[in-house]
Amino acid sequence: MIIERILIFLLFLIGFSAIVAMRNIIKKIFGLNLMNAAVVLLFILEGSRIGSQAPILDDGIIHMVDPIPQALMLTAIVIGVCVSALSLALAVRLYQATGSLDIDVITKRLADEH
Amino acid sequence: MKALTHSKIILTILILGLAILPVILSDAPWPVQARDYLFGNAKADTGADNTVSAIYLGYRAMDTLGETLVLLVSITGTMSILINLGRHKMDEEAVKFSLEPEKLPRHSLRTNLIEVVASKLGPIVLLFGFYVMLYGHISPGGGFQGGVILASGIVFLALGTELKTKLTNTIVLSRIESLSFLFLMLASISGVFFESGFFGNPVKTVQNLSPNFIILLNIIIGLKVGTSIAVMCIAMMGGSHDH
Amino acid sequence: MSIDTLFLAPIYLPLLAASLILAAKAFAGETVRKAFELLGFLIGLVLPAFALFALRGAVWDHQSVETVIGAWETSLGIHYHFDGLSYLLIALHLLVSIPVWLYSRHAGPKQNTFSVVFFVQCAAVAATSLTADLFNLFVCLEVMGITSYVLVASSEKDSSALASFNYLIFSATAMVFFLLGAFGLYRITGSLSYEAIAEAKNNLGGNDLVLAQLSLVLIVISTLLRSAVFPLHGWLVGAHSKAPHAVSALLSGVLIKIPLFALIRLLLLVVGSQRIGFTMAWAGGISSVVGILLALFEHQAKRLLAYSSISQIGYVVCTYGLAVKTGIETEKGALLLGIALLYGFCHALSKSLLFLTVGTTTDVLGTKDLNKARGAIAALRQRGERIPLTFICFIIATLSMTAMPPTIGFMGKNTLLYLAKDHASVHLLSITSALTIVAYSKLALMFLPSKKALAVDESCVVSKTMKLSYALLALMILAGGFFYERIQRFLVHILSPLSEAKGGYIAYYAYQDLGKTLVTVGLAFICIVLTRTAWVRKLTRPLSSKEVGFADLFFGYALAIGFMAANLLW
Repeated sequence: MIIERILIFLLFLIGFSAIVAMRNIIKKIFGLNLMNAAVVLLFILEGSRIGSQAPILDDGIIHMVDPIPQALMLTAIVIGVCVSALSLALAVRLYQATGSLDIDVITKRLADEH
Repeated sequence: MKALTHSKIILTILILGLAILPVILSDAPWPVQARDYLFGNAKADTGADNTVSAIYLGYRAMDTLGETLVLLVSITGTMSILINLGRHKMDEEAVKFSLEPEKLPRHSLRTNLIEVVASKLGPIVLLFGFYVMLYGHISPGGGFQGGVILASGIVFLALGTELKTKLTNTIVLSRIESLSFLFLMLASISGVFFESGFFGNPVKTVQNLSPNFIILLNIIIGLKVGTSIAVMCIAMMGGSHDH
Repeated sequence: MSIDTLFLAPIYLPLLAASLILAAKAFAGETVRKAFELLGFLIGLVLPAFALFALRGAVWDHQSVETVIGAWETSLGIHYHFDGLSYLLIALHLLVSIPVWLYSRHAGPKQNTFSVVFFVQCAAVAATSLTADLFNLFVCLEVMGITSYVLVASSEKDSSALASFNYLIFSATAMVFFLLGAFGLYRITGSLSYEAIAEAKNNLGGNDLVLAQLSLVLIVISTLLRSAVFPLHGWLVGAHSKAPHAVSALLSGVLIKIPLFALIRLLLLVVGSQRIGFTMAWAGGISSVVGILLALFEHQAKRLLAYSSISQIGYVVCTYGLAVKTGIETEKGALLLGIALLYGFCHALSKSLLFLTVGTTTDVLGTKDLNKARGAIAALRQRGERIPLTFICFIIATLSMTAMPPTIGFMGKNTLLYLAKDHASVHLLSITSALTIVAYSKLALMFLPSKKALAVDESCVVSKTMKLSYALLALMILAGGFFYERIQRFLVHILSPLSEAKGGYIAYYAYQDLGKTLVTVGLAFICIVLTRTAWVRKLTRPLSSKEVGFADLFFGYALAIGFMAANLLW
């Protein structure tokens, strides 16, 4: 139905707005995770429209969903998690270096040091 | 200045929202070629019942290799950033944020409840992780899923017991990780010598043995993912700094 | 060893090297680790170089390999395509990364995880050049990206963490948009390989076509972000200036060009990319002017080099855009693509040598500020150089960058300007050439003798391997200048299967335009004098050293997408 896709679209936009508009770097990382979640949901949801059973070849399975989006999203989820982990480590390092999690404060304090 | 930044942000969200709206809301029919082909041929080609496993460890194994590389690099990078934090010169005005074990209050991490539950659950979770890893070609599961469960099992063990076991020793874990990456590379290069090309299944033509390649890849990937995530979690808990 | 077994060697050999080094790190002590790092270098960089050398005959005969990884006979597999273009991209990478690795032995990031990440990046670069599958391109770009973030953040300064964070968030967000584009294209065409997508897309109409065009725009812009074209250039200055010197050299030299040329395989097959080419040509021209203007008013050495990278990649993108616009199947288009790639080579060699030499010099002097740094030659002599090799190599690299004879840069830039001369955007490139000379004359001020006492950093030593790495790059620049005709002919010949008209030839000899070079130098001299006057300085003070915020980065991204989508759909 269309309502699901509109909700996914809103989720995507909320995640994107968090990245662009929020000043706290942890919230930016949340936003990135939200965007990833929205795209994963979109792939799986749309791929499931052509069937009704799980894509495992057992007896009695005749109408399975498209397994390609699921396989692609396995990769995308892992990559998203890894990028989040690295960004959180960078956030910890930035906090330790400047004492703040606000991107403008961090930029100003690190610009003074050279 | 503020108004300029705000207007830029609003314009950005508007333009990008408009650009992706047709993509998300499109009504084009979803293609069925892939599903139909896999329905008929996945078992014959790769020997796996789980078509998703057949795809990401068979037809599109190169993507899985890339994914493993992303995991390897991100864990390596995260560990080197976090370990160097302790050795940084501390800025006096900045708040101290340390991972050194002496500074981390023991009691906040380890209560009696956690000790009892986690240490007893640890081996069971490990068993479940191995099951998910090994049965990935027949039922939902596989290397990555099983590996993550393995990692949580190891973290349970590390949380739950004061004893230093081999399984929670970061040196042993990183040795397992590096060996499994080496075996992954050897397994993928073996295809070159067996005429199925890089990352091809070297025993593709032998009917009964053909799913074994997928099982082998699942085991290697599961061990690699499990041990590397476990090393990172143990290091974040204040485990050891022997990298 | 035939082409079929060798062509994947640049992917699995560096990965094998990385796994051996990782195993050595986990199991053995210090001396064994060092031995394994050397072994890794031999397996991961030297052996692929031999493989490429062995393949040169096959590539000259236009042999190519189009295969599915794992030898599945179905369209579900991942298609890889090896031909002259991939050969050149991998060669570009090896030419720069071997000297960079040698430099990093003593001067580079001191973490023992540097080698592992470095070799994984080598493999990812090779894979991006070879792939002909959309989702595999996504995965390869992500691997390249994550290795870049880790390498940029491996410096000891904290500002590198901020630069890496900005780059990470910007690039990761763009890759999510890339995934949306892949969603759109898979939905319409049912396949992920370039050929199947192109074949299906060229027969579309109506709503489906709109969806396909939008998806293509998302994919193209998200890939172009890594090449830092205006307006997507905001992340590059921080990342390339704060990274360790070896990493800056590698990033500026190689990593900003590979995604651009990997995209050619997709654009080649898709009808309607003429308009994409037109937008890219103008974006490249504007990028080159904006980059060099920002470089002119920059007083920090590595930031100047980073802005100059934006400007020079503008040359490559502009010519590449003109090639796509003319159509790569035509003879003229293929020649333009060839000269874009050749100029990419020129820039890669010069910029990496510049980053290495300027990096060592600023380390020794202890400061990056061009207004304060002086007396580098004497300082370097104190730290271990009897002959001023760093200075000589710096001069060679600068001559190449500003297009002075007898370097490869001179030949490359003049040939590029000659080939592109019918199009309006080339005037922007000519203006940039003059301004480039002005910017680099500012950089050379570091080497003027100093009147004050030298404050030399005692911890830096210019070691033999560092000198070897400079010498290698400088020799390549000079050899490229002398043997330019042969190199150009080789390049154009092995790229010619891309066009239907076989055998193009560039009938131009750069030395006939020496007069034009003199005029450019004269203009530059006038500009140098102008910029030294007080009122110009006062006018341009607000332009210098602005930090880029997230709003600006993403606004640029939105503008790019909006512009190209509007261009394609109307």
